[in-house]
Amino acid sequence: MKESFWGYWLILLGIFVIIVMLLISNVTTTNTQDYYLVKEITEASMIDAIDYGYYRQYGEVRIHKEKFIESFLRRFAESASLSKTYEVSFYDIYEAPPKVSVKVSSSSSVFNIMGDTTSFDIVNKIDALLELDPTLGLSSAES
Amino acid sequence: MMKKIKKLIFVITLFVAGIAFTCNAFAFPNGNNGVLDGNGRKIDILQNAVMYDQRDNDGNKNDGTYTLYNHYLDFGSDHYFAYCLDGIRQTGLKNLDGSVRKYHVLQELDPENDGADRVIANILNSDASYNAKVLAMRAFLPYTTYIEYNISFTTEAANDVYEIYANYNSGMLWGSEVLSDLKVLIPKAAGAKDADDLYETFLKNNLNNSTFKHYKWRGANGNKLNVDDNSTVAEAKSLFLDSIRKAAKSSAKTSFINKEEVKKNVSIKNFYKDPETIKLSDRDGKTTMYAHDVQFEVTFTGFNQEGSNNDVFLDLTFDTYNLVFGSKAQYKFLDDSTDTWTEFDKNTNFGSPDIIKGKNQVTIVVKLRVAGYYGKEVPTNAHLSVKGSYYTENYSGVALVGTDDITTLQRFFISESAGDDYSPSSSDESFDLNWENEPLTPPPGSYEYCTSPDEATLKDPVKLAEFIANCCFPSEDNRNFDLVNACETETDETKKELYCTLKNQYCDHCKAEASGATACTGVSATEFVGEGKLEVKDDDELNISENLGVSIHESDDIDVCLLGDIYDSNKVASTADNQFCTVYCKEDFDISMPTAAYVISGKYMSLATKVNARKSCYSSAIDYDAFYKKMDIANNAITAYKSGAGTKDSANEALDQINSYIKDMNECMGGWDTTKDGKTTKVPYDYDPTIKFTYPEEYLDLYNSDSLKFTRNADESNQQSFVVGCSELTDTEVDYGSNVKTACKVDSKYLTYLKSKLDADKLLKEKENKSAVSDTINVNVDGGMIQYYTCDNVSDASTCKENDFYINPNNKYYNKVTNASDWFTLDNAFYTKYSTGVIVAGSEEKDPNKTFRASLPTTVVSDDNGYCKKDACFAYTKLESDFSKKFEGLTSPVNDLPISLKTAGVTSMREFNDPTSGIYNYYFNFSNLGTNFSGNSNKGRLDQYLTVKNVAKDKDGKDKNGVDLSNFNVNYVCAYVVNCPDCAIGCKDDPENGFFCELDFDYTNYKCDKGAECPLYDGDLNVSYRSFSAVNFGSIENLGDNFMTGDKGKSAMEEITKKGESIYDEPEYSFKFTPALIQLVKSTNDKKSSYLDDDLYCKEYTTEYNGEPMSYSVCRSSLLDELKKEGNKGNVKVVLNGRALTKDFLTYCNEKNKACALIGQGPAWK
Repeated sequence: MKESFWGYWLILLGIFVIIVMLLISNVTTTNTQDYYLVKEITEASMIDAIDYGYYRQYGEVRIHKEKFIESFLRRFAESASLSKTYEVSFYDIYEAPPKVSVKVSSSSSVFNIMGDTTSFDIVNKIDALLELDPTLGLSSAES
Repeated sequence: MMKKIKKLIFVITLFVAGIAFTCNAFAFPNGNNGVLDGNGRKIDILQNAVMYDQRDNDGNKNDGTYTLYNHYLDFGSDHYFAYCLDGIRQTGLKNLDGSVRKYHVLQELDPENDGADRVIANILNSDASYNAKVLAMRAFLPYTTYIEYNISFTTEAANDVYEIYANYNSGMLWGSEVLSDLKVLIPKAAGAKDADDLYETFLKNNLNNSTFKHYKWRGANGNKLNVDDNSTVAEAKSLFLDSIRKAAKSSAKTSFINKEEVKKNVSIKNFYKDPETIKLSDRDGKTTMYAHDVQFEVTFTGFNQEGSNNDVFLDLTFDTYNLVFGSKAQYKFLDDSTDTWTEFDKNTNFGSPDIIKGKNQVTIVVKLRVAGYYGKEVPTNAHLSVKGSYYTENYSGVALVGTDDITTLQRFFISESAGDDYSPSSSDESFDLNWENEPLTPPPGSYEYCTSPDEATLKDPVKLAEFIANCCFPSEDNRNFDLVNACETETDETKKELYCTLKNQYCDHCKAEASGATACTGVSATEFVGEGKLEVKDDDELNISENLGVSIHESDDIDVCLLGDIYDSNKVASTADNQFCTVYCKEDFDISMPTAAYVISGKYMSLATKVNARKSCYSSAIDYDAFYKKMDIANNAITAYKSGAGTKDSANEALDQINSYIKDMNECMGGWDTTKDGKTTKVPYDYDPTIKFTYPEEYLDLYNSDSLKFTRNADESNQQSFVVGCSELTDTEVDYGSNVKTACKVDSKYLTYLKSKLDADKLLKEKENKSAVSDTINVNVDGGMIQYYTCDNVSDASTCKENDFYINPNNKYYNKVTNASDWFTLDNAFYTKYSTGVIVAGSEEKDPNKTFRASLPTTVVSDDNGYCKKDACFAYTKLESDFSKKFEGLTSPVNDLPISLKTAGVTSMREFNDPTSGIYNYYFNFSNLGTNFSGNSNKGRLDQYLTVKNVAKDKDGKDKNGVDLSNFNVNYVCAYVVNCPDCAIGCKDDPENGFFCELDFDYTNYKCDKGAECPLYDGDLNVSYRSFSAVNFGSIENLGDNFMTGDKGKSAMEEITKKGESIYDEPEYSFKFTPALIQLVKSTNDKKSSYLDDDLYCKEYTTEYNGEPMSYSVCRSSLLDELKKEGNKGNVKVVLNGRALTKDFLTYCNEKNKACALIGQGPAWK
């Protein structure tokens, strides 16, 4: 092998490293994006789902479960990538006191590198609740 | 200290002494001549019924306070009295000699409650049966603290009668004056020597020897007589009035003129023109003037009754047409025994001559010399106008006058016929020595045309002219129409046909004819004269009012005359089919042709012809009467339909007619010049005004005419505008080219109509987003109709029929709701062919800047749809008047009425900044909702609804009929106060603001240590979002109170901690969100306005929580239903584990999650 081949190998190695870095970057960036997307949507949807009429009558904060899910899906659809397939799952939703658990899995495209097929699934889980402001009940002078 | 006390006592003593001195000083005026000293002012009520008052004697002039009031009345030379008022009560009434005079307070009224009008009415009514007359009444009653009647007696020796003066006095505040004075005459009773005698003996005897002493009672509170405690106020008053009546009847010594016989009038008659033409010559002997002497009588009637001495101001004014006044003018009173002629000016005020004293009628004979213009004989149409009037200001004695102003105008033609046989008199007497002090002596009866028809040769042109002048000449105040000629056709002996031809003074070809039957014959001149007058109505319609069936027919040329020279032959009546007016328009053209054109040989060229055109329009007089009449007819048709008498087709046809009326009226109102889009064209514009309502604020104040204008767009530099509803133009000379025409009188009726029209239009735009639902009490506003259902059998929805309410444009409608008094009310707003039920509802807008929307409930409480939840608020109800009695003992039936939370001013909960607490007022007015078309009160709408809720049993154990909901009003207050045991809702019925509630809670010292049970913190719901790890949930500290406190929160925490990450073993809901499914959801988003625009449908359940009933709902999303369908198609994976709608869901909760049952606190938290 001529010495010049080392140069070619170095070039190939560089290209490989760049590709790997790009893939990793893509995965991590997507993960970050998805996490904050889920977090923000969960918060907004829980606020949407508050049953104010129920609160007026009983003083208890309650959300409508299906309202929360509907709002979540509608909001998520507006922000999700149309090139991906997500699996959105809801777990252990409490209406009162409001607590939700959401898992969103996004499956990326299949990568074929040097004959190896690889795919990256990004899973984000979030558990969230709505709590009454702990300062409630204090007099205005105290607050 | 003692010194100060003594000083204080001294000051008080001086003050009291001052008051006493002042009071006494005023109570005892000097002498018997009625002149009061010092600050007092004497009023002779016989001459001038004015009561003066003394006030502000405390030195604080005009500061509204007083220490002493003194009112003085002087009833004549022999009977003075004065009384001193302390501002509250009358304290004394004495004759001038110091003796106590009996006075009798008949009634004390509260003028604020009773009102001056009522006081007067009481007097008149109570006096109506007297055989004497209420002779005078005048009142000016400002704000007073009280009113008294004072009855006193005095004598009128001359007439040998007693008078009862009933004065009700007022004047407790600065500026108040008087009062009223009514007098009731009764004849002198036998044996009565004076007033006291009359009072003590005569009346007493006539009261059946009762213990009657004083008529003194205070009527306001129904107190009994002070003296005769056994009598009620009504009894005492009745006795008193009866006694007077009997006294009056028992003696027929009255000679008063019957009120009905006294007719206020000024008549001018017995006109006579000396047939001799007097030639007046200059020094050269040349005849320069042709004069006539005329004479007539003016009789003033009705200003006095016997025994009265009114100030009557007689007045004569003259005007001439084609005449000048001569140098001679004399008058004399016909009844003047001295037969004195007095010279006077042509406009003479005779003052109040002594000869009228005590008389009811006086006649003045007037003699004048009039002449034609210099060098000209008197023309045919020359005439003399005489206006006689009298004015009475005061009254006294037994007069029946009061303030009055009587005026009559007559005209007399001076010229003789200019026929062939006419020749002026050869008399060349320039001055008739015998003219003065001698009356003209007309042949008797020759000119009494109307009273002596046989003598009236109406075909005599001169007499005919005078006849016309007397009978039908246009009144002076109207348009300038002159008589051109007249003729008459005699149809029979007692009836004559009159024809007059009238022309505009300034336009020879403007003529109108008057024709019709006259009633001159067979009636007296006095009846006829002054009553029949020709009037010009509006611009081009003539009418004879109060008279005789004579009508005027306008000439076709009259419009030309009215339009004047502005409108020439180009005039086009562009709106010939308008029902209420005619709009005349013209076009002015300005065509500019090129004078030179530079062209290149061989090239095409164009000539710059420029045409400017303007179309200007003028609306003729608008026939408002026709408009209103037609509107009424149309409304009647709608009303008939409302009542079931009419058909729907007829109602719809009436609505179409109304639209056409409005269109035409708008067209009438908008006839001003315009160009079209600034373009020039020689083609006349179609007259199609665009009406634009302009107003300064978002909400119209239709009663403020300044703010309601509509404009028609003219060219940019010349926009015209005027106020809607001009009923009369005040300036007919309008330069259409530049001036803005704004002055006109606003027709309030038309404004009112426009308002209702606008309201109706606005209401028609109201639309709810949900349809009426059968088998409910649903109502729904949709495009001007209120939809609802009536059912033959409420349990069978198939028998329900959808019906519509029709909106009556004549409703009340408030565009802007800013306070409780501006409830949205729709009186008689809608109705059906089956019943006349009306729901009027209103709510107080949370944000007054937002447009108010109909607050009718959009859905029934128990229905699956929507967010209306009757239990979402506490309902404080006030049932007004009888309604509360009917519902006594029942559980606030109106609490069951559906209340839409949307009506609290929120269209979206998220937009509602204060969702947690607040007080929202609703107003419901129900009318005739108790029966539906079937007549069965147990079926249909609210009746059915309430009846079901409030079935009462009769004594036999059977259900009573439902509550009668025919008519009742409910003030409905919905208050949201969350978990505040110390809070209370205070409600009260405020006279100004109506029934309202407010939160009775003092935030200042509010302190609550109960965590989530004290959410009443500035009324906001403050929740925080927190994300956490399911692995170590239990390690979280300081969670919100909804987790940290309460059994439910603690149980949830324990459960979540216990399950940890295991919850992710099986999802409750899972969706494989493929790009296709994402696209589906996004398309759903596009159809909705926001993420809040959900369409959940919920099922309500009731359970028990901590021993208290608690309702909860299970809701289901239609979007998830749709996704579920996609999953069923196999396109995507959709898992809805545990999704349920019915009670199965609860079973699931209890079975799958044992913690639910273990906690035992209700199923609703998950």
